Amino acid sequence: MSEQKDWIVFNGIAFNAAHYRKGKKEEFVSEQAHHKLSKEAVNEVWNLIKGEEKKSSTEDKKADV
Amino acid sequence: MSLSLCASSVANTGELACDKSRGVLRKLFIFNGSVAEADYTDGDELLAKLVEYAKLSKSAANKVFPINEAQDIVDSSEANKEGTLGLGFKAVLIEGKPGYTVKVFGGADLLKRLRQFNNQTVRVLEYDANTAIWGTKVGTAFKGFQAKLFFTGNKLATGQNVEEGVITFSLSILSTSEYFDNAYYAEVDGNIEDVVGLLDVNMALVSNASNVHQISMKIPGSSLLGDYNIGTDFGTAIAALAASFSATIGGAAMTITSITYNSTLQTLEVTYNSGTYSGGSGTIVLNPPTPAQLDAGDVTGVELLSVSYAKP
Repeated sequence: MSEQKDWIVFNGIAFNAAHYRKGKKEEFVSEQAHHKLSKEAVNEVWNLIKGEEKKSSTEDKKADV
Repeated sequence: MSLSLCASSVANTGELACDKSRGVLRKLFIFNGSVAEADYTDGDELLAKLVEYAKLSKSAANKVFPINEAQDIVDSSEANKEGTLGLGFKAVLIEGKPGYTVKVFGGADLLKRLRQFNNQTVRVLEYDANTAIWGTKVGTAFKGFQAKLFFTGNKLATGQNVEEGVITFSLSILSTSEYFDNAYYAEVDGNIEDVVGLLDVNMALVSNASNVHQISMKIPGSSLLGDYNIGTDFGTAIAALAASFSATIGGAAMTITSITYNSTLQTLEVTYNSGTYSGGSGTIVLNPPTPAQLDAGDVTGVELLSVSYAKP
C-alpha cells in the first residue's frame, strides 16, 4: 500500500506516481491515453512523476494546452 | 452500640449542592462501543470522541449513530407492579422498566434507515437540555444504556396535528440497574450537532473500456426516479483522495494507476494497471477511503461502501 501514497494530481486527474516512477514513459502514455492529455501535458506529468519538478507534485496544476 | 447492618448495606443520604438530574431529552445516540477512561477526562474531550466516532465506518465497533433532535417525549415506562395484603398493606413488588415515546423530524429515506434498528438490542447515550450526556459505565469505560428501539412514521397526515415528516420511536430500557443505579453523566460545552450521521454511498460499475472503469457513487433513496448521485458534489474531491483507494482482482492486489471524476457520466473513472487487469480474473473489489479520510479531504457526511463486481 505504501506505493499508493505517492500520487500527483494534475488537471483533476490523480496519477499513481510511485507506480510509474521506475517504469517507462511508454507504459504511462499507453495506459493513460484515454485522458486525452496534450503532448505537452503528458510531458509535464511525466516530469512530475520522475521528480524533476518535485516541489509542484502536490499541486493541482492546470494543463497548458 | 447500634444493632444495625446499615453501615455495610446503604449509603448516607446527604446531598451535594447543585446535584444533577436528567433534563428534557434533546438527542439520542446509538452507541454500541465505549469511551475509555483516558478519553473522558473532561466533557469537551468526551464530545470530541463522539464527533470522531460518528465519522467512523458503520462497521466499526465504536461507531456513533446520531438520531435527530427530539421534538416530543412521553414517558411510557411500565408501572411498578404492586402487591397488597388483606389488612391493607401495599408495596412495590417489581419495578417497572423505563420507556419513552419520542418524536423527531425525518423523511421517508431516514425512516427506512432507522427502521433497520427496530427491535435490535443496542446501547444509547442521552443528551439532555442541561447539556449533559448520560450513559453508564462498564468497568471504567463509558457506554450507552442497553435498550431496544422501534421506529414508525411516514403515514398519511390527517391535517389535525403535526404529523408530516414526524418519525416516532419507542425507547425501551433493558436494565434499571444501568439506567438508575449506574447512570453517569458528563456536561459538555461544545456543539452537540457536531456529532453528525453519515449517509451510505453505494459504488457500482457503470461501464468499462478494458481496464478503465466508470464507477457511480449514489445514495440509495425512496425516489422512484433514481438514487442521488454525489458526483457533482464530491466527485473531484473524491478523485483527489486516490491514494486512499485500493483494489484487488481475484483476491490479489491490483494497482490503481489513475483516478479522475468524469463529469459527463458523473462517475469516478478508475484506471487499473493494464498488466494486472488483463492477467487477472474473478471478482474485482474496489475499496474506497474511510469516512475519516473522506472528511479530511472535505468530502463530508458520507461513507463510501466497497464494491465487488465480476471482471466485465
